Amino acid sequence: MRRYALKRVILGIITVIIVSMIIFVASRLSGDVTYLLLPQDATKEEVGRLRAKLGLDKPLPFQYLYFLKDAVRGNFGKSYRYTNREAMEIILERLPATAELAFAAFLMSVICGLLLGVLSATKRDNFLDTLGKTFALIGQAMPGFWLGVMAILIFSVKLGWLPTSGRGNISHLIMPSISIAWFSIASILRITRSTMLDVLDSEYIKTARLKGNSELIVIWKHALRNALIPVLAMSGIQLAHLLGGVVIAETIFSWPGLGSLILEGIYSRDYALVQAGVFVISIIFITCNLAVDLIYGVIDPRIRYD
Amino acid sequence: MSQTVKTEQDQPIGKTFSFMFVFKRYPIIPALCLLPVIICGIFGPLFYPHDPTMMNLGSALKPPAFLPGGEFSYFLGTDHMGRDLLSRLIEGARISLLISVFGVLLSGLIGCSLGMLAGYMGGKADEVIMRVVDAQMSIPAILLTILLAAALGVGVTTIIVAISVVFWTGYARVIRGETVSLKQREFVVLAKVTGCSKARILIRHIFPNLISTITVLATLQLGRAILIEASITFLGVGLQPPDTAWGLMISEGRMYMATAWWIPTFAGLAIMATVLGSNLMGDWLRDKFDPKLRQL
Repeated sequence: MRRYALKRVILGIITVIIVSMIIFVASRLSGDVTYLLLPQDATKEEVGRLRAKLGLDKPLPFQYLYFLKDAVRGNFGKSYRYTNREAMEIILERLPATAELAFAAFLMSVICGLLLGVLSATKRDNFLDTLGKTFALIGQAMPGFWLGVMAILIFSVKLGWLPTSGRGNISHLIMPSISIAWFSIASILRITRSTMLDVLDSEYIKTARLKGNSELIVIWKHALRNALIPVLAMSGIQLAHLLGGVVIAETIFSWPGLGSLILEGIYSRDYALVQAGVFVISIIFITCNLAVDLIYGVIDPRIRYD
Repeated sequence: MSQTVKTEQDQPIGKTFSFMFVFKRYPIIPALCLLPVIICGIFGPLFYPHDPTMMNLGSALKPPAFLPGGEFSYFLGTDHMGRDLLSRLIEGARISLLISVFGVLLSGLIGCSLGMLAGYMGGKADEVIMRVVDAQMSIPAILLTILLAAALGVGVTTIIVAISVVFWTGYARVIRGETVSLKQREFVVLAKVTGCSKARILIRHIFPNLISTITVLATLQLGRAILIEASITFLGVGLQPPDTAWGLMISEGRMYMATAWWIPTFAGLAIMATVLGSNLMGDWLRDKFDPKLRQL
């Protein structure tokens, strides 16, 4: 187990380094940033001085090394949009709001996805199953942002039940988290259903039934525990969808989090802010995935010997 | 007549001719969802009821024909500029298809070549390619597309490039796995023994066996590409106003939602039907070609 854990951690670190390269390259694709920072009538000398100050006169690999050195310390430079505050500082300020939203969406997708998936599998070809399958199909096809817009139209504009935007009490959380969780609920439902169907067919479930356990215990204890493993393995991908959905939902519902901050940064070409934001989101994702891998190794020992 | 039906081999035992049987055998529902979009995409300009970009403020925010106050000539109503929604939906189908089809083809080309290379070569090449795949997958796809689209500038080509750069990882991962298992099969080993070059083995012996997997993957990716394109356009970093796109119709329609619910609604339904169609078509192809690909 220790070797497996060590290997996973090292792979995680390598992943972080490659992510930093991708971010660096993507941010350099947009060309020279000096024209954004200087007035239009700046002389060649002034441009040269600024380039030297920002390290843009050095070869690209060196620029990357400087970038990495600073990135490791969480220093992505100053955001010029927010009156020259450190980009990282602003990001960390916004992080709790995003964490709140992502956590709510995550809980919702796991609970609804598992519940509907199990019900759909146990009541096979029943009304519930048809409902579950239809939901899975439509859920994966419906754009989350459209669902958000429609929800605002119905529940805020027409019915006036829920607030349209902002962060506050639990009623602010309902629509954004549903519009994020939507896609994940459909995917978790789909995979839970198919693994539950496999598991329910197996010998040990027959044994559990023969021993006289009630159907409730057989399904929710014996079967679900084994069906959970593939669901857990898939949760990494779900998390990526979730974090991507957060960016969109925060923009629609004006949620004061990381996602809307990154988009603002992109609109106003505030690259320090964008780089720091994307980096933090990727680190969150990589850490969670590492945790999933380690839990997976504990639950299913076979995986350690791959 | 009933005699011939009963002797059909695929006929489920103990059941008379059922509709489900037809649906399993032919991709009827996916075709119903996709065909209108494809026809609009290719022949759209031939049957626009109106010019999709023509503004006519006199007839702005007209409701659909089936609501009171609607006019038959503007069947799905008009937007805040008085542009005909049906024509705009048809034009939107063109752009959505163009971007998603080229995005999927280009990303497929990159992803499949790198995946085959990684799977067949193994060793260092494999290690490097798969690490990059892992790393790229830890940036949410939508965020990376936004980042690239914003960095490269606005335009159809940009979005196609951004989508290709983001989507190749999905192909690479699956194709690598398939190639690794094909590599050990007898016909590949024998081809090697007869002295085939690596390139020849990859192209003539391994690639033909991957075509069904690639088709399934590409069909499933098509839906994702449409969703991503619509999302980034909605967020304002994709296509920009003189263009007509479904994502734009939703973001523009948001402002007039309280009075004109039809603007964002129909565009969203169009996206949903298209994505649903390509997902179902992918599922159907997978069951047809290769049921063991279930996990995709």
